[in-house]
Amino acid sequence: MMGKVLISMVAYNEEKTIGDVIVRVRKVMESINEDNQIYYDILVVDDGSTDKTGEIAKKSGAKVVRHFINLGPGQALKTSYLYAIKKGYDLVVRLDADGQHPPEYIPHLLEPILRGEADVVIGSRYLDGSYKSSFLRDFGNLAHSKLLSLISRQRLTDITSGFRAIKIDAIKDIVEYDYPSTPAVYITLKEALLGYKIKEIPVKMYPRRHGRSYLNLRRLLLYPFKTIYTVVKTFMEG
Amino acid sequence: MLKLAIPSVLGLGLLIYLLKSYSKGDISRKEFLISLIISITLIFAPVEYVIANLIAEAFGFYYTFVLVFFASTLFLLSIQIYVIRRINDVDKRITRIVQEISLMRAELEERIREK
Repeated sequence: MMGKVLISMVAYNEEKTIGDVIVRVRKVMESINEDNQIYYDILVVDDGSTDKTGEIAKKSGAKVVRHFINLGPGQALKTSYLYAIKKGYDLVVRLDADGQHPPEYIPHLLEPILRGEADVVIGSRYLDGSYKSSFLRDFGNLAHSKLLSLISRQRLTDITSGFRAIKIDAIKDIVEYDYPSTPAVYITLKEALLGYKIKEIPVKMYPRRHGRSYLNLRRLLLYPFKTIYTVVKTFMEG
Repeated sequence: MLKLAIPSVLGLGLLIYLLKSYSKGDISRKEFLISLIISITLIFAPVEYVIANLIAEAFGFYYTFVLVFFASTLFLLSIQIYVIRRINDVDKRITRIVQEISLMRAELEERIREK
């Protein structure tokens, strides 16, 4: 029995892609829910968008929580977790609203949790070795993943991936912490240190079709330092 | 001698201003106490000059002004840390308020739609 599943997306000025992603998510969920065993909702956390992201998401049938100011991806993610806890969901699947994360992989993310093999399932771009980005980005991710695999004692290849499914118990244990600007790294490390089982599955990811990435050159250069800060912060919190 | 009295006069002025502001409720107790220390330090500056010389000598500072500069820097640094922590604290509270309001509004909209 799967229970209640929340498919959550954090969106900031994604009016061009959000509607399409919601439709694709619904199609996938309906295809695996022929016997109506799954109760699922699609949530969009509109992080203070200045375009019609929230309106389009609502028209497409998603539930929308709108921040009236931009709080950043970490805090928007936290809002989605708070929503899941308040509404009593059992599982949260998180994916990007810009279409980079294909919703067709959602069933694969859910499977290991349903079989009791994992508490957190991460969709990894690097697991099958086919994904290539810029050298700097690939190298940075490899270095982070090796370091964090060593610390967490779990094999991780894509620590920065936001495409993941997570059990509500694992969310409850981390939701009250103060998330840094690298939430994926922080949450993964925290879950690993708390003893939750993390599993990766190979996924394909696509470049964003519209809008601008959160990671510009300045943020990309600062990323290693932020990760180090995140690691230190996680350890200091115990 | 007259030059030595200048900080005392400034300190006295600051003290009067502080007392007035505090009695009107323009400044908080914490701000009042921090500023009070500064005004008292200024009022007794002529005496402190002698004391500062003695302290500088005891700590091995050749020039007294180096000690004063060092102490001032430390003081400003501590004020800066205090202000940063306050801003950070307020920032966290605002973030949480925005999150709670957003969730409450979503809940309200859902209930209205259900009715």
